[in-house]
Amino acid sequence: MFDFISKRNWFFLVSGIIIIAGVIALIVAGLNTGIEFSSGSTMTLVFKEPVQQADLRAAFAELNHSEAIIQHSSKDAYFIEGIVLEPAEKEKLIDDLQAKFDTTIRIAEFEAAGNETSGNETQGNETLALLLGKTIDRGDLSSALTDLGYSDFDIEFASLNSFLIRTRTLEADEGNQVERALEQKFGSVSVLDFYSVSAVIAGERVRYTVYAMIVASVGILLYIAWAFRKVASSFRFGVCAIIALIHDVLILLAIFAFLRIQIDSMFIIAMMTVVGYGVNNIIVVFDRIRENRSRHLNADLGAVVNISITETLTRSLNTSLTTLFVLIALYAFGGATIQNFVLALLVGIIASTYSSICIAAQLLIAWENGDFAKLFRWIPLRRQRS
Amino acid sequence: MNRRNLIILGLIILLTGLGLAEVLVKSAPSIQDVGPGNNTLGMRLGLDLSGGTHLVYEADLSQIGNESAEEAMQGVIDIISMRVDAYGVTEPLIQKQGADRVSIQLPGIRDMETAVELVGQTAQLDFRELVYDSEGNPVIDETGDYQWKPAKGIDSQGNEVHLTGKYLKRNNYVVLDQTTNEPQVAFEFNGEGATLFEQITTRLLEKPLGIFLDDQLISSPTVKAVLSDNGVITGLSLDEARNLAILLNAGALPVPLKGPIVREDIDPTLGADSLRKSLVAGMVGIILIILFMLLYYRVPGVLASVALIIYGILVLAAFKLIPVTLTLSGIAAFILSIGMAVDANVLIFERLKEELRAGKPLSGAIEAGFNRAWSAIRDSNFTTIIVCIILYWMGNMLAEPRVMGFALTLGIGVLLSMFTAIVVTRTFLRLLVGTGIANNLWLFGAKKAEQTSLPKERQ
Repeated sequence: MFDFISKRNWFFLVSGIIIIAGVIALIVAGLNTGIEFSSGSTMTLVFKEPVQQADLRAAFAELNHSEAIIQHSSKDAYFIEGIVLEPAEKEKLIDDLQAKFDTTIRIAEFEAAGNETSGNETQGNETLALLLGKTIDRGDLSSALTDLGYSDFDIEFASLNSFLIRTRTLEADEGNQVERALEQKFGSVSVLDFYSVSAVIAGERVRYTVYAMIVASVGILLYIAWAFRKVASSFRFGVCAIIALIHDVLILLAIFAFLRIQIDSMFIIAMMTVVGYGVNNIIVVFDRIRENRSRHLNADLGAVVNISITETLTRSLNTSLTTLFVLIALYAFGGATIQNFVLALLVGIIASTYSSICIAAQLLIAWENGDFAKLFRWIPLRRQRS
Repeated sequence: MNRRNLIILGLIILLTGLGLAEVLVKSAPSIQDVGPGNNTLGMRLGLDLSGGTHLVYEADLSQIGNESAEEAMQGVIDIISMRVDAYGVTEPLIQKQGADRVSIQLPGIRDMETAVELVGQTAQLDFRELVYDSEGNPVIDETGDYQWKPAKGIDSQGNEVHLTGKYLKRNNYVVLDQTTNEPQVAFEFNGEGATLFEQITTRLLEKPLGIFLDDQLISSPTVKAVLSDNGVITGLSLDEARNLAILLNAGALPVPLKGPIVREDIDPTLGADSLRKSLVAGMVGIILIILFMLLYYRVPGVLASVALIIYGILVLAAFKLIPVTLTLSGIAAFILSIGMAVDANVLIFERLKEELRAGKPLSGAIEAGFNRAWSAIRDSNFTTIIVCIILYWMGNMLAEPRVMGFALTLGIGVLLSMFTAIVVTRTFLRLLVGTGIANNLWLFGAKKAEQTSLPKERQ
């Protein structure tokens, strides 16, 4: 039987190193937060005519948005002439094409210059462009469109400039003004998506995320203290579970700080999921400790914990494995939109599996043995010597 | 005992059948038919999958009249609903968020300008007249604009009141002028309004009448004749006229809105691509899980796989019945909840193996396995539900449908997974007792092995 107990300080050390390195990365570079948490506007713009990134940056500076962060990508596209679509038909066409070519295809609509009016645009004055997620042969696209029942259309290949732009929060009118100004300067532009969050909301998001974490911790703590009320010092089980959960979240944050991946609301969801999942894992181990303790009243806590971890090991690994199957499949085939979300879940679930086996119950032992008290006594001693 | 299990089995089959019927009853031709009004399995799709506009406004409750804040917010929601219905948005979602916010989701509407115009305006229409100096010339203020004052009349109670949009009937419509072909909004007053309008047009004959929407002058025709119960507003483009008619028919918001504090124009193509891919990925994941369960747990694995499929059907049926708005994060939660559903089975089977190894007969091992595993299943699932409730609350406070969708989906998943593990799997296992399969312990993944035991207790 593997001894999970005597090696606990090694486990603590490994986790400690990752977390401390992560905290340093957090302090030095900070988290890469999305506009949900730091407010601002993001948009994806596609221009019909070639546009240089430097010119676009200058145009934004002229519009008093020198803070704009602009990312450029070149997109293979086909202009489609001769097909006029209702919005619902557009969706259908894109879905059909996406399914057929198994890639993301986005649609950009370019209005003829000077046709911008408030309210609904009249149809027929716009050019459609299909932005391709991968190379598609012109003939294949043509026959796909014919199969879908379209005829008398022209397809023309183009490489279009797509820009992902992040600015400070644009008010409703300002957003339109920016679009008009860019249109005048660079010709027809299509706004693929737009997202704007005011500072009020962003601040609240951060606040409520923190609240939610605190309330969740207290809720879990109280539930565990109640569920383990028949065990001596049941409160410790709750506290150790919370510390292990904080450990999981910190590891997740540390890895994301290293990788500089953007933190958005999906990340928060992933974080809370990891908490929910981690608490499952920890409770299964604690439940076994609860049971084994009542069976072997005279046994030393370390021995009880070790046998409990061993007995639940298969379950812990099997459950994590089955979840990881799904997550790995999602990561590999799920598409770009949810990839970071799935990555967060992968990291978090691996961390929580590890902590439920190597950290949570070991904390109980450390507490029981008075390791924490020793640690606290040790720190001021060092200070006095130096 | 066996009879009771058969009855439960019958109920499970019935429930699954009903669930399946619910899932398939409004089935779309194929899973790719994502779009407004064209929902996957007839489920309501979130904006990330259908595309559209999401707006969040904050109501200015400081100017509240004699009604309560709740009434004012309800009024705001009702009026916005009327407006977007009149505009022709399919399946809009308008919700109160927190104390003073309203979140508006307009699937299929990608024109942010129109959306903001339609939703955010107070749409308080009122009539005004020019202020004249002692010589009868209109007064011009410092900015060079004419000065207007409220056009008032004496109502049936003998009070002097301002003529506003609240005296309008709700049947305003767009007409094209017969000679100029210009779009106009034709409006009609109720009885009280007609009296006021008559007094005002009598007084303002051959003088301009100012028509204001939210303090913006939209038209200032010269009164040519005494009018009473109806009139037209001119000087608008066709779209403006159409939107104005919608706004006037729905009426003014009881309190003005500030914002939008969140504005989102969501392109559905990325979401639709992700949905398709996630579904494929989910299938691959489930097949891997089933293979794993079959190889590792053998007969119980078969039962658990069937239980898992029943679980999937029940969850989808619950989503449709509640109904849950399907978002990408919700799909992720669903796929994750499958992992949790498996977990309950794994817990039970591991216990079952232990009991079998300890030499218990199958029926006793099943009962003991379930009873022992129950506390872990209960505690772990309840804590997950605590997390879901908090997440849902947070999503609601933040006007974040993705977070709410995730929490709701996961919560339903966890509850139903407990049901399938405790009721479905257990009934299946009990029904096996007494059949030939039960005699071969290998089929249960339990070779007779020595039980893990505590090391010698320390002295």
